[in-house]
Amino acid sequence: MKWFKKLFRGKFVKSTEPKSVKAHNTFRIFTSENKQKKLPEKQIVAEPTTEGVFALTTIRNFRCDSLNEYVFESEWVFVTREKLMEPKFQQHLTKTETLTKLCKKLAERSGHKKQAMVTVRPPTCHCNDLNYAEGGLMKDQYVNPFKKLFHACAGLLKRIYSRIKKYFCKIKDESSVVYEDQNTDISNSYLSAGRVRALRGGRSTRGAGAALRAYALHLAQDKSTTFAQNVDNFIACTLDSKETCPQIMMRNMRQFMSGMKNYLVKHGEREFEKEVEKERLKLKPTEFLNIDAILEGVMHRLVVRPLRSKLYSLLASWHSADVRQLHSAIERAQHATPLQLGIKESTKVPSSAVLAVISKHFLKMQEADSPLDKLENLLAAISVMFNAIRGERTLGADDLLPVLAWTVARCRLVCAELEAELMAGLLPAALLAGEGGYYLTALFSAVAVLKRLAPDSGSDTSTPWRRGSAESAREGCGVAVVRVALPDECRGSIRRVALPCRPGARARDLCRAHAHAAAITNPQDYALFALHDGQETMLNENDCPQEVMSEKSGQNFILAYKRIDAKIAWPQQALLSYP
Amino acid sequence: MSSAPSGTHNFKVVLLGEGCVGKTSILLRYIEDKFNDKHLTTLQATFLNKKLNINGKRINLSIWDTAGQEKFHALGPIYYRNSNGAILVYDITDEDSFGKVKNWVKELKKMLGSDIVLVIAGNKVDLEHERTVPLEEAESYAKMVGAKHFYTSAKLNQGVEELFLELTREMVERFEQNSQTEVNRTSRVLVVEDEAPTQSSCCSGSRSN
Repeated sequence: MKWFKKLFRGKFVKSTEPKSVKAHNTFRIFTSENKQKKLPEKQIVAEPTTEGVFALTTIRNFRCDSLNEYVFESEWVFVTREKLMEPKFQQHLTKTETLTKLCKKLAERSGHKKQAMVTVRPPTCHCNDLNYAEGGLMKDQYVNPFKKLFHACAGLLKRIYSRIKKYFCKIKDESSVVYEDQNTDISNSYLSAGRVRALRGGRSTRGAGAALRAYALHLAQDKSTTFAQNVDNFIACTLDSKETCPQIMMRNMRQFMSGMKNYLVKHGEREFEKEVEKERLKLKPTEFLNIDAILEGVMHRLVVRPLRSKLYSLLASWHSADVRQLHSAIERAQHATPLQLGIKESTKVPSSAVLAVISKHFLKMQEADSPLDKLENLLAAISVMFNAIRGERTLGADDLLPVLAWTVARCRLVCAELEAELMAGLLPAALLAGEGGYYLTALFSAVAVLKRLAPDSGSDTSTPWRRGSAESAREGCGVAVVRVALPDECRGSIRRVALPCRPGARARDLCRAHAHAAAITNPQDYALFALHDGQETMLNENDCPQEVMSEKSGQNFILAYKRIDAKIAWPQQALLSYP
Repeated sequence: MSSAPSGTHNFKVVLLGEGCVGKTSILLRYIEDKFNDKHLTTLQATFLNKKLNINGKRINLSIWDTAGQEKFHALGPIYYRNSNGAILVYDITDEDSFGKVKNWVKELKKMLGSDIVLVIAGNKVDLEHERTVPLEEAESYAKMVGAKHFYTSAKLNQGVEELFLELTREMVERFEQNSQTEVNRTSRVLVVEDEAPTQSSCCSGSRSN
């Protein structure tokens, strides 16, 4: 019987030989695969003892992926070892259909047609139900083993059935409360989430939520569903829209996502409700399905991801002045001491190693599509920062805000405001009243604190944060304009862009300014290049483009900002005269 | 602010006051009873949740600490937006800090009107002998602006529990008053929400065209 794969040992009863009850009270389940026909169906053989009675059924009667979890009652065949080994019966085992028929016939005859679920527990579980069945059976061991086994099974199943029924009723009550919750305030469940990790609940790729998530995504793939059509229409409308205000676009997106969540929960589509029921059956008593969180994740995937680049370009152009201001403020803050930013002397600032970790979180925040992922990364960054600066004293908001501002400046998070706007615009309102909202507010205020360092803000002259006199003197000589060629890979054309540039600005400053001007969301892939007679030379971060320019003035020389990996054959001539 | 069907009220409370008056200490003292020392080390005392039960009503307070330094004053609005309650803390040994409280009261009244419950806390009563803010002045001012006044000492754990309890009671009271007058409005809102998704939800997007 090599084709039998032993799956598990459960506690059960042995019915043929009273003496060996203790030695053989195991309930084993085997599967046999139909190798010749390669059918997806498998047969399951449960064997109460090594030499006793076999209980046979098909894999249809098992729910869930793992065989030791759920068994349907209805279709079982009980055979003795001798009968099982008969060649005729072995044929049954290799043909799924006949066994199914046999199972059905026997089940109908036995009168236990009700479909009940049995959890066959792993060997470590000493479940009362199973003990009960065992005890009940021990009393009348002289009865026909077949009858006895049926009797035991029936008793066991009835008992478990009633328990399960009760249990499901309970679940139903509980979950109906959850539903109400969602109907009135679709995202109220976030409030209880509290800590960072809890936000992840239901959005992970594993666990009970995964199937639901997969089903909702499948619905969106099937273009004949109302759900998919609505999503596609919304995306098409939004992409075509002439709306330039990112807040309005985000408000529409938020409204649409909440609406679609409500639609799926209240009306369902295709098998969605069945799928929810199916998932609920799989839940452990201590688990619940946070449908709201699962669907929120799905909507981010379906709506936010395709609209991401449009949203970023709206945000970048709407806030271009803010970004420029924050950019110059961050440049200034590089030279400010922690004390000048309002950090108390007794408070440590994060070390460069910690800053590197925080930078990574900030980078992940920028890369993430879903606003929830962004928020998680923001919270992770803040939590790393907190842990690094925590001393004897517990830190309050008096410490948090200036240190966060300092950190944002050191990590050169120029897009801090865009990211904060995006999160605030797309996250469900209820979430913003909790911890996430607090730290998002902290990011907004850190940006506001930094912006006051910018040279063009009115209060600047009165603030103590000034750079060294040499720097100020150089700044005094006015603002230069640097022209840079931007190859557009999508259109195959070259644009010349003139950007104001502080004298002495580094290549990385210019890169950043260009990234914002061109709404490039992956600035780490781009760099400035010096083009000289068709030769590209990448500028280092710290090179001063204006110096390079003045050295090469009069020659056929331009600066280009392009993707580092982009292979571009530049035109031989007329680059200088390019408009 | 929002109330789940299970009867839990969620309130947002913002802590305002000059730096060094002991906002963070009050917050910590209040939460400390609930958490042991081990928990405290992992806590960040800038945003804390506290669950309360008053007359069988479950209440969840989200307490927002703010930076008190003068130069951060302008950031106030983004913190106290949508607050149900504000605790205005001053140091009884520092007259300036009481002046700041008056500024905050003015600003909050102007921006939020009577939607927000105000509580004034004179902190550091363990330093009674160094008091510079006269007792009568503080209490009569509080009465004038319709705020409750408490004397607290985060150090000696005096008055902190009472302060939060009274604030919460008032917030519940005000919430119930408001919700009675808003019953009609909220039910109408619900109907609208009900209908929207069944229509072609794309209309929300095309509306912006």
